[in-house]
Amino acid sequence: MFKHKLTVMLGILVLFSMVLSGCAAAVPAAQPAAPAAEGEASWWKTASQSASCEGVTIRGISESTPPSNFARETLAPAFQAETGITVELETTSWDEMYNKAINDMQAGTGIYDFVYIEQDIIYQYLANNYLVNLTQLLADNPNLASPDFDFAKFTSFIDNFKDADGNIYGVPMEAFVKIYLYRLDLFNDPAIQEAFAAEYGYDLAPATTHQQYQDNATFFTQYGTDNGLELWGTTVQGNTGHASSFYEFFESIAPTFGVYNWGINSENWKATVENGGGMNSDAAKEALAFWVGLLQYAPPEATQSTWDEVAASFAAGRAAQGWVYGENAAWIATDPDRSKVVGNVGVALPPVSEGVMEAAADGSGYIGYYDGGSFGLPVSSKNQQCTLLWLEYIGQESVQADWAVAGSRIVMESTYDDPKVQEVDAKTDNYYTLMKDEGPLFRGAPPFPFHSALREVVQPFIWKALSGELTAADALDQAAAAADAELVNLGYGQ
Amino acid sequence: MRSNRMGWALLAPTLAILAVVGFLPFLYVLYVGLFDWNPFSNQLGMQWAAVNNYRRLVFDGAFLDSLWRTGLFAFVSVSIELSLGFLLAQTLVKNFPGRTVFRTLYVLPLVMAPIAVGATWRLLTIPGFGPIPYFLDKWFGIDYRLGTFADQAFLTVVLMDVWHWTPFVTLTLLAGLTAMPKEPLEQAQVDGANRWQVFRYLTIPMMMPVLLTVIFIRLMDALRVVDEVFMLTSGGPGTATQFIGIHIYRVVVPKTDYGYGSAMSLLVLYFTIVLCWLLFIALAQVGKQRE
Amino acid sequence: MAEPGNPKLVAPVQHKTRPRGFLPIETNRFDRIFISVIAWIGISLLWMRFLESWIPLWGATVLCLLLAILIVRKG
Repeated sequence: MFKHKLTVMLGILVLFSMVLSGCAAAVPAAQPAAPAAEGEASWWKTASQSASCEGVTIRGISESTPPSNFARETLAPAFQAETGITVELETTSWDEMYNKAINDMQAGTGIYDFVYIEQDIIYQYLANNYLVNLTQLLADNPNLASPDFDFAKFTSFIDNFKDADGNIYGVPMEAFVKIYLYRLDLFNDPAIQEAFAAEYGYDLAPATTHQQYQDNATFFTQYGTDNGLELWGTTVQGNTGHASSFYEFFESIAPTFGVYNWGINSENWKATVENGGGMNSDAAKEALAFWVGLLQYAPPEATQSTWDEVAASFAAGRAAQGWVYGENAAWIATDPDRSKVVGNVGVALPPVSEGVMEAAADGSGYIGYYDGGSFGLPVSSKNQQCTLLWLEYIGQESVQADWAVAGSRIVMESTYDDPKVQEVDAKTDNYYTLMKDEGPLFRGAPPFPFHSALREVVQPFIWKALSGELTAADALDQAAAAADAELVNLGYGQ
Repeated sequence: MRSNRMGWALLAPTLAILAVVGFLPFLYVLYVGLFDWNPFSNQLGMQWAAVNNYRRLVFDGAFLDSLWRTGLFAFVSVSIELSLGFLLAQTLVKNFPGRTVFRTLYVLPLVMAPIAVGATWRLLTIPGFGPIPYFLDKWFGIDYRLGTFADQAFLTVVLMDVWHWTPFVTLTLLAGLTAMPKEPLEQAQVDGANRWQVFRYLTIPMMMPVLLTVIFIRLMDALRVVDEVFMLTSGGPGTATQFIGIHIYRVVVPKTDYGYGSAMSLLVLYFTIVLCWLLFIALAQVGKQRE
Repeated sequence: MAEPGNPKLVAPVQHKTRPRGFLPIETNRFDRIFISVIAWIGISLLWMRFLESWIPLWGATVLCLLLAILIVRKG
């Protein structure tokens, strides 16, 4: 009797699991590669078969951001349907992503077949020969070179992923600027405009100078208090225990005061003013004091906010203006499920000190952070040919528009002209147009091979300035001295 | 002789596993600690550095600070846990209505993984969202922001540890109290000793082995705390809760300073061994005195 | 356990312990080697911090070696 029951139970279980796995297999198959047409599908299939990649699983790691999630949820299943290659993309926190990727590549374990390479870390990776030369790999495997893939179609952002000889090491998957967002409904409210003009003697507008930014922040914080609103004047990405605050200061705030490249002199690798650097220059100190001063006009969660919380605070309508990573601009402006400020998001260039805009225009400076990343292929990967197909797949022109709409990122010129993108552009106060026209005013991180090592040394001082343990001037003096010492330690400058 | 060989044979698998998972990594760390090795420095690969890493360590303010901070944290939280735990254990020895229910509820934090404890406390303390800042502000007018005020952060971390581990202390002490012979206590009462005298001269000495064992276990745990604190404050604000475990993590993982980080962790191992050994000796002395 | 009148049962509890050394606790050879190593590391660290600018680290090593011999033989 018991045996009989067991057999029945087992039978049911087996049946159930078969049905389940059948479903799992059916799901991707039911989404027949939305972006690609019939003819192309056969090319991918042939290529996949010729490299005997069918049934292979490739693994990647990326930060959990809107663009990466789109790659995981939409592009990966479509790619699998076309090629029979399964893509497992692990999306995790930014810190975790780096730790796992670097540990894997350093140890040569080969867990990951493709990794997210942010623009600022590429020099570290190249110096350690972590990455496969994609130009070379494509040339060596002409049968795997898709007719729809061409490095020349990308914007100049791809230059970030080239070595000195012009070889390419990553296929750009996202690029955006850290932009100044403000609340259209508040800035355009006649009553508010009147109150502001009465108090400050000039018209309310998105800030073009730091003083104006601070006035706006002060005004809206007061406005929130007076009207019993959960509203503050600005966001601050001021987490006192996370690298995000270091980045906001050195890549978004300091440049608007004319302090570039983290204040490090790349002629002699020095940070202190005494040694020819600029990390503790007067302009840098002014910038830090300004930014730390903004905390009193920021929501209380500011000192625990990374880029994610900043976007969330703005989307929750808790701030009137702020520096927000552009990858979030589209969903904040258009997704009513996650954002309370849909349709009320204004986009502008950040405020700058005198002379900075001119310096940015002639290329000697920049006004903010042009961020982005690519997917690269670690040398330790055991499925390089199959991964190459995946990298080409995500680098097709045809997949770009939907991706741009989902993640407000653009890596090809042609994407700007797509009707889908233009539709969202209208809803986001022309964020995409601004990125296209004014993008050159922004710049990525300086090409430091010691990027994260130096960041770890400098950031505690920024945190201490934010928590009020140190004054802005002391924090930067100590940070610059520590940076000088660490650079020598790392073998840069003497 | 034969029984001796048998003993070794029985021990062999354990020793082999210990060698592979414990001793070999230790030797590797010892080896790496003698090199300058940061894949992102100007010199690629490992550069022989002899004891230079240790030389740097004894002057490294951030390291020494975090060591001192860890000691302070361990001392404060274990003291609180011990006093609170003892008090509760004394209460729980007696019978009162609802005792079983209370006991069950009380040990619930124990079954939570540290990372979940950290996440729970993070949710409780996020300004504008968590209940703790809300009620502190509403009832007492306290501006509670973990990201801004170092003292609050340190205190909260201690509280979290106390919340998580006092049940463990209570349970262990309770076992000790229950196993304690009743006669000496009754005799003392007959002889007219007051409660304090009974506690000071009978309960404490009789409980000494249990107490020392609990201190031993809790101290070791507190000294290597990482996950809960990292989840709650990630070591901030500034470095106010950057205990030694988090400090080493930052040096080895994001900063990829493998050589220096290895030396650092070995030094911490050294301090831990010394501390363990002292406690062990104290335990042994107590045991001898009892004989 | 032992009957008071029977010396055979009381007497043989003679461990091979040496007379107690200058260390405050009872130790065996392994303990003393362990203490020597612990002391060596500790002294070297303190030496690097406070004395190395005047006397090289070899000083600490020699000192600790002497100390170790003393502890192992007389501790």
